[in-house]
Amino acid sequence: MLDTATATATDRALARRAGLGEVEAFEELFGRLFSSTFRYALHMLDGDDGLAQDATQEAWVKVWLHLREFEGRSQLRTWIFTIVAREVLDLRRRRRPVVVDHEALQALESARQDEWRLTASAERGALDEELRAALTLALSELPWRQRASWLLSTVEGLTYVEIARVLDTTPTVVRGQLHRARRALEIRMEPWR
Amino acid sequence: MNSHERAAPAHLAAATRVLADHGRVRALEVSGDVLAHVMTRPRRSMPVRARLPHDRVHVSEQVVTAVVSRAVAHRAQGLSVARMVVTSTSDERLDRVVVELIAQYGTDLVAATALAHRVVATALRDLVAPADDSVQVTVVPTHLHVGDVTIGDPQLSDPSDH
Repeated sequence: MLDTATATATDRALARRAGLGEVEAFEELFGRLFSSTFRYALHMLDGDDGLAQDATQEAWVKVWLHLREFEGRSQLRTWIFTIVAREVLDLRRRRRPVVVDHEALQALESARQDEWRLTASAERGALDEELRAALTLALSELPWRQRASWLLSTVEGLTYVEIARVLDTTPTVVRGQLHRARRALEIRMEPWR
Repeated sequence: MNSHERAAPAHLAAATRVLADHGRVRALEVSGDVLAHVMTRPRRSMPVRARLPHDRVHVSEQVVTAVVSRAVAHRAQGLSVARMVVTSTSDERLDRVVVELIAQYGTDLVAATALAHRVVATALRDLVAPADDSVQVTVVPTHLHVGDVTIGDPQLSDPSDH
């Protein structure tokens, strides 16, 4: 009975039950939301798996410890992303700044064009991998808020209001950040058109 | 994407899909380890003393909360615990449990809360008293109220969903 109840419950119902100590409810909630939070951390941390795991692990520990205090003033997903975003930012601040390697991007673009010329029917997987690497590199060039806004909007589907809550800013600022991020990414990815 | 935004160029949209898929796969690979780590972290909680015939045991206030809310979920149809406050005396005896309930719209509240009283009292007695009845444990239900309603089953939905 409880398994069905857990699988079909809303996020807020699960949060309430998990806050009261129901481990199955927490596990269901984790299963629903962890992937998005990890993905956000991964791409905010330049694709570093280890750092992304550290950030999300600490964030989800906080979710578990403080779920009883969640008062429902925002969406649960927004609340959790706020915690993850803070962990990610803390990790980024503790790291040395990363120098953007423009030569690496040029090499990627050049390699891609060479391959395209040589094998018009290149392996789909290889092309996907190059596309991902190029976008990861392009993302790493964006200022932190632009990158966060773009990931939360385009990849995770949060609204301007939700993103503003997560990043502790206003929807108007988010709109501006997104506009600049999209423009920069379109220019950076232009060679892949 | 917000409805008034123009679509991303096809190559950027394709790259975004690949990026998202990659992140999802990596998340699946590490999720088990992360969850296992998270579940090892105990929540801060007050100890509550239970008496046994020849010994004492301490249970966490969290355990009291979990046991009572699970009992209500299983045995009191149409009700779910919204929050609980557990207090103990200075010598860590369980003193008082305040239970706030959520009821499904249309539930007979008088009958449901009477049932909830019995369920909570039984759950507490089973938790803190020995199985052989060698120690008398008195549970006096005094404060238990319905604080909100849900349209559907309160185990599956929350008042703030609507």
